[in-house]
Amino acid sequence: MTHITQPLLQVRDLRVRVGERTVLQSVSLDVPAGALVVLMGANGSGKSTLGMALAGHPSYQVDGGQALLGGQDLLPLPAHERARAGLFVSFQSPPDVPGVKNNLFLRTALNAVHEARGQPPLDAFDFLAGARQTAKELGLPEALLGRPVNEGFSGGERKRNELLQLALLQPRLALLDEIDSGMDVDGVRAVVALVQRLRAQGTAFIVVSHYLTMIEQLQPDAVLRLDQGRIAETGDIELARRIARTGFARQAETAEA
Amino acid sequence: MSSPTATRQAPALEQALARPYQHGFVTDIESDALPPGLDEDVIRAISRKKREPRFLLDWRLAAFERWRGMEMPDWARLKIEPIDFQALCYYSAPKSLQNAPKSLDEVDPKLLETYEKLNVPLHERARLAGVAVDAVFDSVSVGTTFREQLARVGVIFCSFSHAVGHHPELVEKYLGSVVPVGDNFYAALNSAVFSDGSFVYIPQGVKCPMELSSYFRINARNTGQFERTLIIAEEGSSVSYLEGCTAPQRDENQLHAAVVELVAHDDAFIKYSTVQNWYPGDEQGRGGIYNFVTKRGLAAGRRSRIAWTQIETGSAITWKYPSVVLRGDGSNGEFHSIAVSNHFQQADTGTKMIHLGRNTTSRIVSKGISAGHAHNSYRGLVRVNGGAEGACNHTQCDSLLIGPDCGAHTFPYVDAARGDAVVEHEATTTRISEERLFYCQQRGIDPQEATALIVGGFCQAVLEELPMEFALEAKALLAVSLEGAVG
Amino acid sequence: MDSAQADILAAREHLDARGWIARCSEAFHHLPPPALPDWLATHDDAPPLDGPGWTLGQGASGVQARWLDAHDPAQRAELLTGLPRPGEREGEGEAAPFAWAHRALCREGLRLHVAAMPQHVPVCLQLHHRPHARAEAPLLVLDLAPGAHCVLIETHEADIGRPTVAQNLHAHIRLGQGARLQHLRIAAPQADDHMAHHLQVQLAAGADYAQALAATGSGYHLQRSHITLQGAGASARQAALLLLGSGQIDQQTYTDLHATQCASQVETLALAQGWAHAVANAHTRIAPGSDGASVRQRLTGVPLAGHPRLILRPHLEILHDDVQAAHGATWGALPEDALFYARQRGLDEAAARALIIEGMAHALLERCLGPCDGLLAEWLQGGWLARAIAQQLQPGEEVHHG
Repeated sequence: MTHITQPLLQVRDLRVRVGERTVLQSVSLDVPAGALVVLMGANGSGKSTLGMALAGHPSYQVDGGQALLGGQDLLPLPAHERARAGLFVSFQSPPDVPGVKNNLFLRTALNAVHEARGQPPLDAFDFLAGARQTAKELGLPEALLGRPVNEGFSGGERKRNELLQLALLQPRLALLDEIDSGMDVDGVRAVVALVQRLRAQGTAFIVVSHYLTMIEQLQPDAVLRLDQGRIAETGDIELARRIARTGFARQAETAEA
Repeated sequence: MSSPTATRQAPALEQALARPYQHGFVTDIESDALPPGLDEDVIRAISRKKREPRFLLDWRLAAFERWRGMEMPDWARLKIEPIDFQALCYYSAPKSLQNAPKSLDEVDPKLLETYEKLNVPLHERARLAGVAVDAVFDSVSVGTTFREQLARVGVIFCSFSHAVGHHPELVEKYLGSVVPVGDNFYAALNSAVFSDGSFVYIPQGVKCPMELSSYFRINARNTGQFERTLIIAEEGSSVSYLEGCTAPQRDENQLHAAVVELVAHDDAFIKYSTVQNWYPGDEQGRGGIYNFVTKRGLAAGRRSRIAWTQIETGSAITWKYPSVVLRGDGSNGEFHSIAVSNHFQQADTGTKMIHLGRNTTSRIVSKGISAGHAHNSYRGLVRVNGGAEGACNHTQCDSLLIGPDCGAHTFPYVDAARGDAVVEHEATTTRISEERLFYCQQRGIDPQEATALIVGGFCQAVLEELPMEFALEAKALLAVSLEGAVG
Repeated sequence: MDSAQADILAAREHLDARGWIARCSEAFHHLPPPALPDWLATHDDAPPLDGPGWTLGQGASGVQARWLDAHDPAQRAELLTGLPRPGEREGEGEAAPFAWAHRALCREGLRLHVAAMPQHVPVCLQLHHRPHARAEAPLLVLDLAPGAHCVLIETHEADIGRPTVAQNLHAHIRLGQGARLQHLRIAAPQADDHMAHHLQVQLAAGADYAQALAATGSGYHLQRSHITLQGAGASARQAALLLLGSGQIDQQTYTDLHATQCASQVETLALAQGWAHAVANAHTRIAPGSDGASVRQRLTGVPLAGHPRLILRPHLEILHDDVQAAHGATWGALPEDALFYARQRGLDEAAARALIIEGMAHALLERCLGPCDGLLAEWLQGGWLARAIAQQLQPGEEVHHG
């Protein structure tokens, strides 16, 4: 992919360790603004690790490499500052935050980002109006806004809550990890619609998934296959289709051959 | 029935402290101080200076006798330096303002910073820091309007000393009726040497039109160590009383042994809220204040209700168990509490609900937050006596631990002697996990704010019980108390 | 004077110097124990009891048993090998005088050693104790080798017409790494007996201890356990079923978590009536550094009739943040809807109550001991429970409803 301007996300030779185990050996990729990259790989290949490492999770140690967001060095920043710089990473299992209502949590997060961007904070009413509308579009019952974050939410509801946050926070780069799990066909459609809308506004996406139907609908700019901590293969939608047909094991054999 | 004193022009703060103009102290209070030490002569001197009637002197002397025969209680969990009671001063004029800061510039900047964070109004900061300035603020007029409103409905709200002078029959009737002199060591001491406090009387059928706050007694700071408060609610009346304030209180008095008695008659309701923030002193926990308070409510009348709500933070070594004696049939007692300890603080709080009458109910919600190297203990007793038919209690007691070096302890007691009683006690412990904090951070919320959010959520059930004005301040107070706990 | 006598004398001297349990003792102030002479008295003029002390039913392979005489110096040394001295035991706290009194009076003890069997076949033991003196201090030491699995049923039941006793029993149980013990204890003293049982249990890494206690009230009855989870991944479950038709019981359960990934569950169900008086005290402490600790306490009191008095004290001391801890205490009558349901299906009042109570008791024991087969299953279905419930909890007095 050649571009005139610098890609929004630039990752070079990223090496990430979890405990004693090096999960990502060396990962490099570029994602321009408004582009969507699909990341695929067998279980244990390190797909979730990339997101967590970029987000700054304390359990993930970066042993080498570089990551730039809009030219800004991400790695020295604490997690909340990376978020305010415009990075959104969805969680595979979003935790609950007992006692803290969803709308309070969202408004606090949103205003933190606004403040970082020099935008005025939203008051409760303005926020709620926007939140309700977005929730409706995503098929989230309005009642969820008044409940403590993720408490008692089903798996699918938690994923939709992630999307609600994505829609409200409007990040520059979003990494979505298996966002389709637990969702029905309508849910997936809503995901795609939201992603495309944000993409049109310039948000870049890395989508981790193996659900071909959704991948097709997303019309990715590139498909990457992660294997044993490295990007083993780069391609387009064809690559995704091939993986869907033949699985990952074959690829390893093919690679070795 | 009291009459409001004449309004005055804004006096110098110094004058206001030394010669309170509202229903207040006996006027020559500032003329003498007694040397340290405690014996019968000291008590007689105190009573004489305050010009108390005979019954009160006799009461004090009897209490002193009881106290002399008692031993200081030993609670294994609290580490307290021994207190030399003969070294304390039991009567002194308001603190000389010679050594007070002359202006805010001379006040500890950290203290000022805290006032800033809590949004304490500027004129308040001076008062709280003990600055001797000309009072430019107009608290006089505020106080006056307030007192007019109360006078109209017959509510008596004055200092204890004033009540002794103007309503001795009420004082004599109710003093010691809820906390008898022999109740415990500190109550006995207090009964012998108490200096002043609040007195509230709500006549039959009156719903007190506003929240009463100890702040409005401008001489609140003078009462020092041995404060005595008495609140009486006649049939069908109700009142909400606030004690303390969120701004940090500096105090050289090491020992506070206060007694608060509440009496609620048929269908009456008393709500007593405390927000106490003792200035932390140093982060090693040195300079701590010992806070031994006996607070008890007697739900004497049928269907009477008493509710204790409190938020405690700071370096106080606190030993207080607000309790409710549920004597009236159908009476109800409630206790809602948040106790925060950080650094090296120790808090030991809890409640007692004693069910005596028929069909009595009680509800306890206690939230303890520990951070740093602090220890937070909850000690609660629910007792159902043999005659307490149909008693029902529910207790929810939760602890939040922040960091690996603090401690949370819960020691509930259920003592039931009735087959038809229902008592339920539940307690859980949680912590602010790394995963949760990270989740908040990935959404752009910094760790400090995330902690404040989570703590606020944890305490929500109690914050909802606070009078509105306190609730907002309380959240800010929680945030400030937990600074440095995370991140 | 030989070493045994010297040791006994030293213990008595210690008691004289330090005295008995203080009245204001935090652990004992609700139900103060009888004074020291009661526990040490020798009734020279009374005929000796003919109980044989400890008996081990049906020889089982995998277990070594040694009955040892505490008055013989060599045997005493063997008996007390590896046991901490009174006053030096972890968690002993205010119960130390009992330990000294035991040291002074103990006449004999039983040491059991259980080995690990091939295929982890459990070693099943039935241990029965009958008092052989009016005041006695039995001792039991049970060691499980690493990997051993043992099922132990320990019974203390009164024979009809037996004179009253004051029994101060001490047991030390040590589980090696990965060992597992399912321990069912029956303590049914006579109405006027004074009985005090003290158990000290230590769990190495990965060990699992489940103790189910069924106890009835008497003039004085103390059941005190102290369990230390010393190695990572150890777990302990304690269940107590207190059947209190009358008399009193003081149940104290202390649990100390010292290592990571440990789990502890304490559950007590007290069924009480008449003028029964009981204290159930569960105290669990989680030491700093005990990552992943999981602790549950549940104390339930069910008043059936009369005027029983029950004090429930579930206490938690938590000194670490990576823990999951919860406790609850409830006091309340049998669930009305369950009772009504049973009656609506044709059972009369008494039968419905018995059914519900037995169900609760069975559930409690099974939650603790896990799936039971063989010896345990036989016992649980064998009817002791039903008989004890029927005997202790006869609907006698008028019951207040609603």
